[in-house]
Amino acid sequence: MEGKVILMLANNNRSVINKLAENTIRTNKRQFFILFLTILLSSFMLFSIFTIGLTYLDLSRLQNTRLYGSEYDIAVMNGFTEDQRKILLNRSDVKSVGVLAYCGNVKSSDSDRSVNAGFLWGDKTYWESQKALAVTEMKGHYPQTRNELLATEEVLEACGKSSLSVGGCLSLTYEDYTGIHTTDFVISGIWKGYGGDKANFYVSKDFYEQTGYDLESSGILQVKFKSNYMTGKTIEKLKESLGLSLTQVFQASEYIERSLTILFAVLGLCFIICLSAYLLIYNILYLSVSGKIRYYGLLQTLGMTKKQLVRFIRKQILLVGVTGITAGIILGISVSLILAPYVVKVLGISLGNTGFYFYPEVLALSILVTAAAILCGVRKPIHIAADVTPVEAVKYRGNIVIPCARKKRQGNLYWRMAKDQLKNNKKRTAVVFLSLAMSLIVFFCLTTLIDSQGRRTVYPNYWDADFIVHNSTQTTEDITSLKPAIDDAFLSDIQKTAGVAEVHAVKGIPVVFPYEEGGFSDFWIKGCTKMKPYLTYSDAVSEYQKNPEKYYGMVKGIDESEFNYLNGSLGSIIDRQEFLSGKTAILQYAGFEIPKKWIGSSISFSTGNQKQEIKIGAVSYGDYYGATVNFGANLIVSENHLESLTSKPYVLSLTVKYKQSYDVETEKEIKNIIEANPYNHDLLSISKYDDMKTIQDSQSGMFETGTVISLLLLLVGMLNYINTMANSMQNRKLTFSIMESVGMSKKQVKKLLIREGMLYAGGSVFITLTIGTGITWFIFQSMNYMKIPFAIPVLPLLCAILLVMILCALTPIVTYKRTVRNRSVTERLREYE
Amino acid sequence: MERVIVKTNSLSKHYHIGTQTVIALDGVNFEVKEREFVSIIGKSGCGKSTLLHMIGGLDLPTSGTVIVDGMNLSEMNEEQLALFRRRKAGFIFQQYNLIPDLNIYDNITFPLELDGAVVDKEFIQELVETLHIADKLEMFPSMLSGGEQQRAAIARALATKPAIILADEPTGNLDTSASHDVIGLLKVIAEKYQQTLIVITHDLDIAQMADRTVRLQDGKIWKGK
Repeated sequence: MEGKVILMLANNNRSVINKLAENTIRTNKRQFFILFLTILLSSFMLFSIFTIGLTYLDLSRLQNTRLYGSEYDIAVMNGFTEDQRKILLNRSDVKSVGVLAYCGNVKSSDSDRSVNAGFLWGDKTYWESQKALAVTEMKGHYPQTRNELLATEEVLEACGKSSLSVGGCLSLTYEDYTGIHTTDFVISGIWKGYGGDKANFYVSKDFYEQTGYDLESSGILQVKFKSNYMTGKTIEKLKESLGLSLTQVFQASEYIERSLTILFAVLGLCFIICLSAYLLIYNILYLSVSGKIRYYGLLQTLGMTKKQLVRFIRKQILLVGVTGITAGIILGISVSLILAPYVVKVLGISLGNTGFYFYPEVLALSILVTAAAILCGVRKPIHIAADVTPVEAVKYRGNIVIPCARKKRQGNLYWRMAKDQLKNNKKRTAVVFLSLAMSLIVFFCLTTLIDSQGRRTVYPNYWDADFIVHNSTQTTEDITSLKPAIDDAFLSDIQKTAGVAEVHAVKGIPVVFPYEEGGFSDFWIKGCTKMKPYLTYSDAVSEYQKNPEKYYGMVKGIDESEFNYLNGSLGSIIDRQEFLSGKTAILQYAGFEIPKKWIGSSISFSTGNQKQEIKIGAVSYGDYYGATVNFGANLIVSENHLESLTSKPYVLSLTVKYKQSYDVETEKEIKNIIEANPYNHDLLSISKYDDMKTIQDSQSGMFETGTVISLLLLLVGMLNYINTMANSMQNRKLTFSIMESVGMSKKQVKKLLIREGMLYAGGSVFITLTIGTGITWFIFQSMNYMKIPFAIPVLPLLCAILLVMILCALTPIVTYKRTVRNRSVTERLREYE
Repeated sequence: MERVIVKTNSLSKHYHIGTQTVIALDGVNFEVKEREFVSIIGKSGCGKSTLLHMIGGLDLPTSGTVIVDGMNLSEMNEEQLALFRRRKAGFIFQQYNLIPDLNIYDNITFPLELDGAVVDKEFIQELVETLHIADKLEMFPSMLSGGEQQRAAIARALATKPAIILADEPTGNLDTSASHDVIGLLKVIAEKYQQTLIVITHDLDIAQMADRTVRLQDGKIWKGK
């Protein structure tokens, strides 16, 4: 007998498969809706997180620009050569090279005899490109002529000229490298904005050129790269290419130094978000396709080939996928480009030059990742569906995982069954854990980062005080200028304020260092003449000998705990007993560094008519205690020793600590006490609360944007969980029906489901608190170029955890109710017969 | 005289499928005495399973009453019905309906644990030995053959020592030899523990093993021409 050959001829069945696919989706709305929702959520999450995330990064860069006062990545200080400037200008990776230079300090104005302000000159690139982001308002123009000044409200107030506007005149006495001058100036412009330069005047190029300062010895080059991310090697090579002299200082901003780490941390976050989207789609697709095995078997029984079946499944997924991605992107655009900017506008938050922009690359990435997740996710279930025989398919009763043989165990039935449920379906458990934990971790991470940008961005001041008051009655040259602006009554008023926990006073008296050839005063004169080129050494010595009190210094007394703090910062080199007993002092000066050779030698000084001598235990660079403005050096001695030198020392500053940091009421009361002080114009206040407010102001929208991202991720994570549980309930319908058929009541089912939810919540919280803390710490430190201490934002984290726990407990119950609806056990069992 | 343990009065059940109403049971009056073995036969869709489900409290009638062991199931709420199924009735399904996530031992003791009752280990051991599945207790349903799964399902149905055992085509998925074994075991156990046994079957041989056979046709008890 001859064998017959059946030829498989190609025929056009595309239309029938397409029609079948569309009909299947229509008749299985509920299951396909879950898949649709998953794809929608994933593309939405990717699009909105990346869009808002990029805005967040822009805002954080803006904050740095505002904190530093201008936008730059590298600064070359202590002068630069024209060749070095050209090298930088010729580099293809450099966006701009700005020039900034200091050219003198204001000593007094016609309205204030003690002014502490400087003169700065910036070139066009600096002012128009690098400084622009930190300037929020500008009236008038940058100085063009020699007598023009660009001011801020702050510097005008410091000069006692707060009423001046553009075009107004003021007379200033200032010192530059050519001497001390008094000149009439015109205000060419007033700017508002951010930066430490607000206490200075900007001058014209003409003015700069006549001050005696030159760019080669005191100019600053500010470099901004085109890219926001640079490797350490590139920065190092750039430094080498400049051939810096010994005196030049090359300083990369801490942001650019850590930029690659920041980039990797951001990419790590992106990877976590993409992975989360992929896992979710994969799991739901797997459950969705493999849940229809019986149906696919039926189609095979009716003559559908494997190839046609694969095409049929792909067609369904394609339809749902395209709709889901489109809907997700539309939702993403609505939230991140319409809703978020609207909310920001309503809240009155200024985003400067940044804002919520449409990034085509984000759109492409969102579509690509979602599509890749769909393609990868559909492969395995298609394989299962195509490989199962029609007979096997008909017997298929859902995704039953075959667990390993297990001995009978003890313990509460519900907990045991809930644990089994998690163990038996490891893939689903992993997806739920990952999805929830990732949302919590990203929330944890972002809230930690955001939180650290607020209060803790305030650089800790002396003793981390909440409020500092300086007695600034003193003038540089007049030894008798110091007044008792902070007296006992004032001190007592501050101490009595309700919210004040601690008040600490730094006291001192002016001292004169008599001229001794080869001695400390001689050394000091030499140092000063180097800094003031218009003075000759011999003139300075003769002037000093005539009026040593014009170059007076201060003796300041500190207590034991302050000594411990200062000694610790100096490497604990001073003998405690010797210092406290008044045998040694710390020589402190902010003008230039005092060599260590002075340690061990004795210095003479006089207070009034009394001549004294003290041994130097240590030298220190700076002026921390009392922020005095005397020309001469400071001697830090023990409190007791100061009292032995004078019966009535002046209080130089008060350091106040509140019971509750940033307490507005206490702050207000202290400011009122200062206002009532007759010397209130000469009391300089430094407030941690005000600093915090300034920084918060410079953040403009960062907190809100970050919070939107965190909450969005938390929401997406929760929606993922709801979606996964809804799918899980669909797949476990039969099991619940069986359990109910043998006597399990709905109440008992709910008990079981609550426990399952609590295990999911517990697992996710555990992962968050362990691995999440590690990840958060790592990312925090990677981005922590401002060296802010790591602290966990407990309250938001607790709220998020609580929210997740409630959601985990309630979702299975609600989804179970929706799955069961009001159908009897019989009806539900029959679905599987 | 043996008392009536199951009694239905004008029992009707209607299902709505789209705009159509399907009458699954139509005024059935049916009685079963204590310790009786009754088989129910009839064509597919005649209402056999519906009747069994009504007696077992898995579904509520559209009209009429079902009284089992003196309890009117038609008046019970969901919680009471669950308690009834757990304590009074033992179900055996054609598809075995074992819980896939639990091993055989846990499946058998599941209704007892739901009740918070202490598991009578000796009794369970006796049951599983009688049903020849004592060596399968640590395994999961998917690891067992059809016959073994059905015997596990019987063990679960008997574990609570229910007053009435309801078996819906328990041999439908088994071969002839296994079918006779299963029914034989059921009968022996029901006699041993003085339980009432109601079995739905298509197999006339099995039906003949019962004390009495009831035929259903178009939702009614067929009384013969």
